[in-house]
Amino acid sequence: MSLKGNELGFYFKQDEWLFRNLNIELSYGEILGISGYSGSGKTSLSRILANYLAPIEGTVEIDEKCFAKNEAQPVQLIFQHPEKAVNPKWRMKDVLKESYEPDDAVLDRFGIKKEWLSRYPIELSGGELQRFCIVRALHPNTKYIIADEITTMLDAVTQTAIWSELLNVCQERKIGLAVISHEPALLSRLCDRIISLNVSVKKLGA
Amino acid sequence: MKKSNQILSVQNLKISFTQYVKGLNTRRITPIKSLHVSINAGEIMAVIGASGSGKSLLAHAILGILPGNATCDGDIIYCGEPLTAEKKIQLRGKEISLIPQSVNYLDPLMRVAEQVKIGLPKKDANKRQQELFRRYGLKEKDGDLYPFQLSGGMLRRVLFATSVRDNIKLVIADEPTPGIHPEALSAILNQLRAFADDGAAVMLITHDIVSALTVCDRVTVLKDGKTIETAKADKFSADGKGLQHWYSRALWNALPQNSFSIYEEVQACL
Amino acid sequence: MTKKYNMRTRMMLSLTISVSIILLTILISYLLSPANLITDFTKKSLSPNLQHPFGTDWLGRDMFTRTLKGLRLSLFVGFLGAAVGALIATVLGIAAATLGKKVDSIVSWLVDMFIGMPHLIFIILISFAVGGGIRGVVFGVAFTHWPSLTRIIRGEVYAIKSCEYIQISRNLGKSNWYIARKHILPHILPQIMVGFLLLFPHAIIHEASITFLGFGLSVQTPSIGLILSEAVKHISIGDWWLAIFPGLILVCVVKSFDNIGEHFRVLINPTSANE
Repeated sequence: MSLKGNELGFYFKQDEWLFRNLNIELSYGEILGISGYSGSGKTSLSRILANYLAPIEGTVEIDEKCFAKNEAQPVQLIFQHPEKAVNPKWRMKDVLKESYEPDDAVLDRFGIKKEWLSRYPIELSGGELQRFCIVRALHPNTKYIIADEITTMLDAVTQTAIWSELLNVCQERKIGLAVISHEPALLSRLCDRIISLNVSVKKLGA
Repeated sequence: MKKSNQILSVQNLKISFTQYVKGLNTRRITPIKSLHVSINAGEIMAVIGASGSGKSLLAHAILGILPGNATCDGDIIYCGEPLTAEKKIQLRGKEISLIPQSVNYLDPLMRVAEQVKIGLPKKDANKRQQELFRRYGLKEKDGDLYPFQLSGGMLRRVLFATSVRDNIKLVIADEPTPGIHPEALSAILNQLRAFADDGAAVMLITHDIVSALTVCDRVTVLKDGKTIETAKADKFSADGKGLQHWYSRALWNALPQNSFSIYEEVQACL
Repeated sequence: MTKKYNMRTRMMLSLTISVSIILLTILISYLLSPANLITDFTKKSLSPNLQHPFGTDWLGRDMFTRTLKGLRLSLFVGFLGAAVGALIATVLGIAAATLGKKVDSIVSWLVDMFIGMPHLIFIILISFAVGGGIRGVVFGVAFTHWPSLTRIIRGEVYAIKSCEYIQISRNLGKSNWYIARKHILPHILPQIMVGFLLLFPHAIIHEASITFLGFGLSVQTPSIGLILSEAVKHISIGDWWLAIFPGLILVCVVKSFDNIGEHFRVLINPTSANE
């Protein structure tokens, strides 16, 4: 069982391929690193894998099926800027409730304090918001998580805290986790296996 | 440290905002409580801290571009004299220069050569702009292009060309490096080093400690709107024993390049 | 800058004044007796005095009563016009942004066409086509005043549609209806309110102008436009009060609405809301 991208290709401008013939597979419980610098197409790839964007070539399969409609997708994407990923007019508890109602154990684990639940996004820091975004992505249906530079904007201490918890949860629930980052040091700390987009871009794009 | 050498000194900086809560009542929040930073000529000072620790507000306060509901207390001394609101307006772009976070700060509807000419003396603006282009490896005909026609790396170089002026004494670089290619990264850092070697004071605001350490002389660590420590760059090495404050040590050790660990004491504070 | 009152307090003060001008106008217009409007040639063409603060007209009717009652009708017509206009704008704006490229280009084409047309001529045509009277004026005003608000709403919906949190919502399996109701509508509602309030003064002025030109309300319905148009005939013989007072009141009321709308616009704009 796995999340599979077959022969994926994508461009924004006709014939200027960001990547092409890209094959990628993420199994249950696996932690896959995807490295690449800005402009290498890693954000586009993450959106294609999570069904936010349709590839120009190729297909994405989840456990040998296509994406279903009108139910929580098994692939969830966590974004780089948490402040853009929550509705600024909603209280944090409503943000979570849009996905599911997490129990106290999950909240505790990610260090979410009770009083944060009744606050608005603007009243929380980036690191605090990102914890909410992670909890929201851990919907009961979720089998794969794509994390696109989720700690790039955070300080090192918060970064470490967030990753250690996320890795634990993913291990327990056997969630496949794709970590996308430009920092090789971070990827080698976290991942079982790393693929680089920088190489594939240049070689396959031509 | 000789006093005359000091370009910028920020002491007890406090910035607060008024916000409306429930109808007509206002409340005052103070994200910056007490910041101290001083930078000497020829030096790169890295200012690091978590997002929300007040790094960007510091830059905005020095440049005088805080929003209308902010009030600012404390002393900002520039070249031995208080930096008043009028002086900020007078000096920015001439002696004080900002290298912004993103290339989006360029005017999308203006040819890049024209943008580089802004602030250059009128009579030899053309010549100076061409010199700058040569210096940053840009071709003469690139000047006629608009920002969207240039690649990201070239735009970065244009941004630098807009910030290089004869009398620059203070350069403020606000997170110039997030997520960019290592070659571009080292080009930017080398450029900052060049500014400092020419005698300017450079403030490098970033949360990327590792790349900042490759060029900077000293580091100021911010946490929750306060300066908690200013240390020589070489103190950030091995297990960080030379650092005074536990939070600086924690930041250093939490890096994936180091032990990627969290102290017990930090965990309690999270 | 006076530190004694913060900006929001000053704003509330100015809002209160504007709202009370409008409410007072409506209230007084109900209190005034219709008996003041009976023709009485003994009081013909009196200049303003204590008993008749706005003077009387050539039939001896009290101009104060006529002005306020006329204004009430104008307000009512303006309200309907602005409401219908805002409704059209909301529906078309959302449709353009959500129903695909074809609908979008049709709506954009309509917006461009209506904006390109001179308002007044268009209102006269529409008003004439639907048979004049109150209905004519309401439709005339509504059909000419939706385009700018439509543009704003279309832009807002477009912008919010591509927001990350909306995409996340969709990926969490939420339906279009849920997203429209919970995310998009609360976001654009303040815009619609402001748009509506700013339409209001336009609607009143245009009602007055086409009635003035003789294409609007009939002679039996004393709206402000009609009063002004009748006054023109008498200004030349020196009855200045017939035009000055109704005109002045009209300007006051219109300015009040404009003031309210502008204040709301400042309040809902996050960059100016905290100053």
